[in-house]
Amino acid sequence: MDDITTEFLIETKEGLAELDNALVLFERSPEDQDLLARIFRVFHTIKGSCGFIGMDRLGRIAHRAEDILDLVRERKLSVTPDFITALLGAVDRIKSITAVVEEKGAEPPGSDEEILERMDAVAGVKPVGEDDSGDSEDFEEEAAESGKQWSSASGDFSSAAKPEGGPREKPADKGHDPSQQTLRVSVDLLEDMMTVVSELVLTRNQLLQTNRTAKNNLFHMPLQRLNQVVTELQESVMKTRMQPIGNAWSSLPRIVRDVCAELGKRIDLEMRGQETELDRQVLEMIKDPLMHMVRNAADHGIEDPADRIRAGKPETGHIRLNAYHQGGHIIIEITDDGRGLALEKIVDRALHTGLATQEQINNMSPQQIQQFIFRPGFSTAERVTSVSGRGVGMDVVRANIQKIGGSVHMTSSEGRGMTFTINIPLTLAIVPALIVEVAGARFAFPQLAVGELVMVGKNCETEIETVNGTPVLRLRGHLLPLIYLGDYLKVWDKHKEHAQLDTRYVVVTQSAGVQFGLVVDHVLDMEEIVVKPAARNLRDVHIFSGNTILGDGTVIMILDPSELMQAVNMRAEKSDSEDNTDKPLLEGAAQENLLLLFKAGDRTPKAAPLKMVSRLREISKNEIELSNGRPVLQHLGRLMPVFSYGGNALAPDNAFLIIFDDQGSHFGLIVDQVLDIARYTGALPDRSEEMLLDTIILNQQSTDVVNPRWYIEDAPGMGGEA
Amino acid sequence: MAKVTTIGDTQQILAVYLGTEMFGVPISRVQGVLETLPLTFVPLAPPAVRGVMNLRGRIVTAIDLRSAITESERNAIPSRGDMSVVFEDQGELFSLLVDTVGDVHTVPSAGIEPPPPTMAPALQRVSAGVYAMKQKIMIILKPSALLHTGDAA
Repeated sequence: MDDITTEFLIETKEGLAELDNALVLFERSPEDQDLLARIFRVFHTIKGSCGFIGMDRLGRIAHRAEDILDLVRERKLSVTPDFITALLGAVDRIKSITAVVEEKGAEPPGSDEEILERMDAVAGVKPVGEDDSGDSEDFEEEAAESGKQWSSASGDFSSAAKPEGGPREKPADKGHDPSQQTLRVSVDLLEDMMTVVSELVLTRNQLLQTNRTAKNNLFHMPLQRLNQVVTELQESVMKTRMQPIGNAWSSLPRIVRDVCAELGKRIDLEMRGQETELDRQVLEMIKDPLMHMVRNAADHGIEDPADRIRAGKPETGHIRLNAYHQGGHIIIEITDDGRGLALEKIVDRALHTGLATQEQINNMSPQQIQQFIFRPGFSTAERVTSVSGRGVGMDVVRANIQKIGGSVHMTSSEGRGMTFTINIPLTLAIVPALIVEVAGARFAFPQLAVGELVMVGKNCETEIETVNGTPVLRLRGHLLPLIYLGDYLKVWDKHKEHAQLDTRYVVVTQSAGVQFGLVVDHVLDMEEIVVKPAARNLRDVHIFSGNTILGDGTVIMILDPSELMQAVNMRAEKSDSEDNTDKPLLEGAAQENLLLLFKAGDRTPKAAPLKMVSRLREISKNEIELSNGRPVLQHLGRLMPVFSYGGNALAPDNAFLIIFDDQGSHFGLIVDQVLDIARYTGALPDRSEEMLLDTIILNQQSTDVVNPRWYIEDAPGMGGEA
Repeated sequence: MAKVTTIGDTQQILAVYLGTEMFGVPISRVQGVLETLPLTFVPLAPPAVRGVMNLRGRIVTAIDLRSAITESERNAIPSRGDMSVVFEDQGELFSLLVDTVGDVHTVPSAGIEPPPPTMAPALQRVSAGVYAMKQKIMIILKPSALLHTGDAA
């Protein structure tokens, strides 16, 4: 394929991607002249370049589309749904032809008469033949003309097509400017850059480590510079891989429109946060699940207009997509105001398919019953008629999202709609991981899957017990199944080594809704690792999701939590343990609270809502820096404000830091000691203006429950003055 | 399958040794020869995989030639594996652990014979042919075939 054709294909594809959306928008706001100009320009460009490289079929379709758009421009034709449908049909045909061109380098033979006729029909134009004869000639002419302009990259297409189109010139100009400031770079090149930069980062880490131990610090200054430059370089290369999530959404308006047209529904699709950026690799992976969920929402969630009116809702349904950053994650919400999940039908279906017994159902909360839609095979067959419809392939959706370390949550209220919340990491290339050790070998464990760490053994509060030969851990009233990593990897002799260490660590892990504990000898460190796929002949060892190079230059394997889970064959118990862990939290959401107990200030025990706690760590005095007179701390590459209980931000040595996460904003609270996690049965206010949410009785002691938000929202100049 | 470079009608083959046994690797496949770097052991991996190592920021999977060509993998005595012959296959780097590395031989293509049918099946699977030199017989390896050992395949 020659360069011109390649260039043409790239341009055309970009144009088409925009076109789907633009047309759907245009249907709603036919008065938008900018939009019309944009649509017009895409067809015009295609037509122009087609003539240039001899693609007759494409040229004719684009030309006809342009013709009928021109009628709209001259206000001889009004925009109707049929009109848009005809144009979308043309777009589809252009797409399918370009796909063949891409593959074979030439247009496939075939006829596009029905597409052309449909366009003529909506425009009320004379029969095809007449138009065609005069067509080819001026088509050639125009093509050559616009082709010329295109190559000079300065042409204004809308004015070329229609010299008197004064007001339209502006948007055309706008469309051209950015193109001169951007470059097309192949994805392979970006990937290569990323690899090289990762290597540079690792080398830098090694250098810094050596520098720390070296006495003669001649290299100190240049290394600091290098450090800074490498960090900046890493950030900018990471940025090149970022794409706005809107790219994954571009097909959605069209999908929703098609569903509407087919089923006679009326749906508004609202998209917020399109500009939210994430790694292109992640973007690719969530594209299909998102499409699936939106189609589901439009197809099964939103009711027919008549039903909606009967239910007292506006005739037009509403689907909202919302994306935003939170910590190192992207949150995507898909909300509809449709019928929600019909519990009864789910129960019927669950009983019918033998997923649960009546007895089990009786003990389930509504939320737990809703979880059935994530079961494989649930509601595949009779979906359209029987169950409310949701859950078609929801297990696949969830599996795909989990594959990239994300999670899906759902809330539904029958008759009023439902919300899916997807939580995914920003990038797959660099992830934080715990470095664990067993029998002298180190492994990386993705931190996303880690719930908490528990030290077990002699002199610890908890010990590993065995039930019928199976090791378990008592964790806040639940029995947590355990896996000895050493056993599983066969790197140690079970009987010899079990007894060898006085203390071990249990990494409490949540994977696919199942909680289990991974027993390791030591937890060494947390490190940002660059994930690299393992070699071909290691891929059968499913327990490793890849490998990476640590700061000290050694290669280590990355453990895959979900595989670990499957490998120990706990799938069968999955539902049970899922239910057990969820139950207390869900059923008594209003009455039961998990609290983190700590010591600070006076002797009264203090507590904070655990749901706001994102991390705990020790802290030393010299880690705290000042920004604008206020104490801050580096956390995940950003500066995070730190406060101290009582106001003295200068931490004593070996104090503890509780890191809170309030909807994405992190802040730290310095306390004397972290004690325990406790369950409190009773209501707690969610918000308060005061420093304390409440004072409660816990373990026969009065306990102050701290309101973490008070520190960032209401505290009068906290910390800095002290 | 055998990806050997032909220069006129000769091939360049790098001689490598396990003890005194001689093997050949087509030089066109060889990316480098180095002393084996510290290896990280990979649990549960096929027996022929001795570990992974960091070669200038790229992860290289080390394959033990002795285990790879031995019939009964359990009894394989791993080679000393002092030297690594690094080759690339489908974008991934592998290294073949051998005891010593010898010279590059220019071998006439016509002189390469198919492996004798009596040769051990495990060895047959990974060899592209044999070449009889004056003193010794060189078994020419197919690097890609070495990657499939250890599985059921």
